[in-house]
Amino acid sequence: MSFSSSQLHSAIDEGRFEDIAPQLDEEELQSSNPMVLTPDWPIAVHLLGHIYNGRLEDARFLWKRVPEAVKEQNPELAAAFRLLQMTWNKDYQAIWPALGGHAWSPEAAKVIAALHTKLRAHSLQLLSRSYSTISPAKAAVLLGASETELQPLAEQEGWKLDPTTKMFKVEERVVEDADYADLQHLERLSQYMVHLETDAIYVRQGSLNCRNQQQG
Amino acid sequence: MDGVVNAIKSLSKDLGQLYAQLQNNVLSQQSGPSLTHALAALDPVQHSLGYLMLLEARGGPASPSHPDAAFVKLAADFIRDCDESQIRVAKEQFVSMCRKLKDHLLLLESPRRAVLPLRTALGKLAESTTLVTPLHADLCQVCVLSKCYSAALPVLDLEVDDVDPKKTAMTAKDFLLFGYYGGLVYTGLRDYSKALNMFLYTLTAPTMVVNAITMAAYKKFVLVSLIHAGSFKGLPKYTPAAVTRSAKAECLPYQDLEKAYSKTDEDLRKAVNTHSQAFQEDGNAGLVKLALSARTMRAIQKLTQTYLTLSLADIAAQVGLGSAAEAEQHILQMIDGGQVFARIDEAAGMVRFLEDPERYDTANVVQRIDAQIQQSIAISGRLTGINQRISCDKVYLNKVGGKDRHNRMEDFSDLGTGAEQMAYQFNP
Repeated sequence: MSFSSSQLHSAIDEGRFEDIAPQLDEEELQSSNPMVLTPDWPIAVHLLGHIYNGRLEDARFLWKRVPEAVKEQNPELAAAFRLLQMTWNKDYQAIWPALGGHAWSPEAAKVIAALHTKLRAHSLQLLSRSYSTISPAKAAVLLGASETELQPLAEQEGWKLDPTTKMFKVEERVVEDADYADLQHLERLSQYMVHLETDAIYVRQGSLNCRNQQQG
Repeated sequence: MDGVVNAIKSLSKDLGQLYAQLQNNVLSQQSGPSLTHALAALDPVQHSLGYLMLLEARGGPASPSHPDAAFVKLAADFIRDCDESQIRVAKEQFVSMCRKLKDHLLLLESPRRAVLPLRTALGKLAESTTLVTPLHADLCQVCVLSKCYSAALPVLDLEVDDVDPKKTAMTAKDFLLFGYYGGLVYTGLRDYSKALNMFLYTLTAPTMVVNAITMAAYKKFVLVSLIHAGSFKGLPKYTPAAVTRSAKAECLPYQDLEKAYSKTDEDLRKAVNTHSQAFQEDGNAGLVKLALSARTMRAIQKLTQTYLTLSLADIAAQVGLGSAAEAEQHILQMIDGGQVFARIDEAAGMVRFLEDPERYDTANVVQRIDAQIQQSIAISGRLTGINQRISCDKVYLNKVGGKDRHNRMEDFSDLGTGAEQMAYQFNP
């Protein structure tokens, strides 16, 4: 194989999924081989790596770089591309079938599992932000979860089931503020003051010069 | 050829003399094999300048007709290994050599392999990372052609905006192309505000005559403005008059589109259909499509200005969507993208539009403001530097000084005649 697959393996095994795509990108650029995206290249994992990093544009361009012949031969790549289409179009319901609808190779399956966790967390957070009430059926579809899976997720987010309407009530959450290092802030403020002072002096000098010229 | 090689070897300490000597030699008339032979006798690191001059000649004419894989290999290796202080003596030749490498790779239909060499090359050519080099445009071009858009970001994100032809052998055309291709890179990556900024580089570059590159950038600028901001507010005041004038005359389809964009769907469809041929020819059909699909989002955003709560069915009807479910999906997507702030009440089928929850009192905002201030301080520092440089520039002072004196003379004479005239009028 043309790429250093050991690095890729270690990235996947150690769970550094965010490293996959940049690493493969770099490798692709460095290759002096005119045809680099051959059937040997782990294209599906490369594509999934971009989706994992949220760089959908890069994933799209990778897809465009792949020669047609390779696309046709690689069903796993086609499945990864379907997933890209769903995430690109923000089709939240269709993401889950696209994730689970293919028998992924062991390598890709690990990335898919990580991607599943990540997308699930994102969707959950989005639903908490966007809905004040939501039916369990809809939440299950949008989160790609079964009824039994949904229960702990709802509890985790603090959704309460209203017995009369049979809907979840979603509480608004207050986002906690991060602390700010005071001393550092003070130091920066003093820097700004120094800058403003020196600038003011410069401007004053400038106007003085002008006046001198006019008088002269 | 042996004489040339010996001269290079013996004069590698005295670069100025070597450069003058090599320029007098007509290297381009040498045959390919003899140049290859001479190159083999030299060390690319120790004799970088001489190697560069020979390699540039070895690359053949400026726009080659058939690819030369051996030259590609030599040039890519040389760019990686060469000594930057030596190649800066012959900037024009270095740029020309890099362009030949690019041209050969384009002929080989493998622009991807030019990305890394060009990125390395422009780093070696410029002393500072904020300097625009002629190779910036070429790098962005090969990134677009090879569809490796992100590969240009390590260079573009450094905010390159200093121009100094003396240090980089830059020409006006290089600068225009840099803005255009840089804009394309950011557009492809959907970073529209940065794309607009890059196109503005091209559009507002001072000029008396208009270049085709500028017109192409104008077309992209209009479309990206529509996608990004929902409207086109015209070019900034500091755009050269010539550019504004020809944009009006030559980019009619885009002006029609931009006007129709703020009108009804019917008008817009008509404008798109009438000019679809022109958009297709300019390669802008995709951007036009994006601009059209961004309209739904704008329509929903507009509703938030009027209503506090609205049913999903009403939203679908007002915006022109098929069903309430479709409207719900759109709103969910927009909340995800941070384009609207709302909460959907599924039980009642209503949407409550909210204010931007950002109160601008968090540490996060302070950090962002801090970053902005720091950037402003840096820019102000550079501006002061430029100001000082200009006020010490002899040519500028002569020009302004001369004008000033002239003006003052005129002023006095005006006063003089004015007083006399007044005297005439009042005391005939």
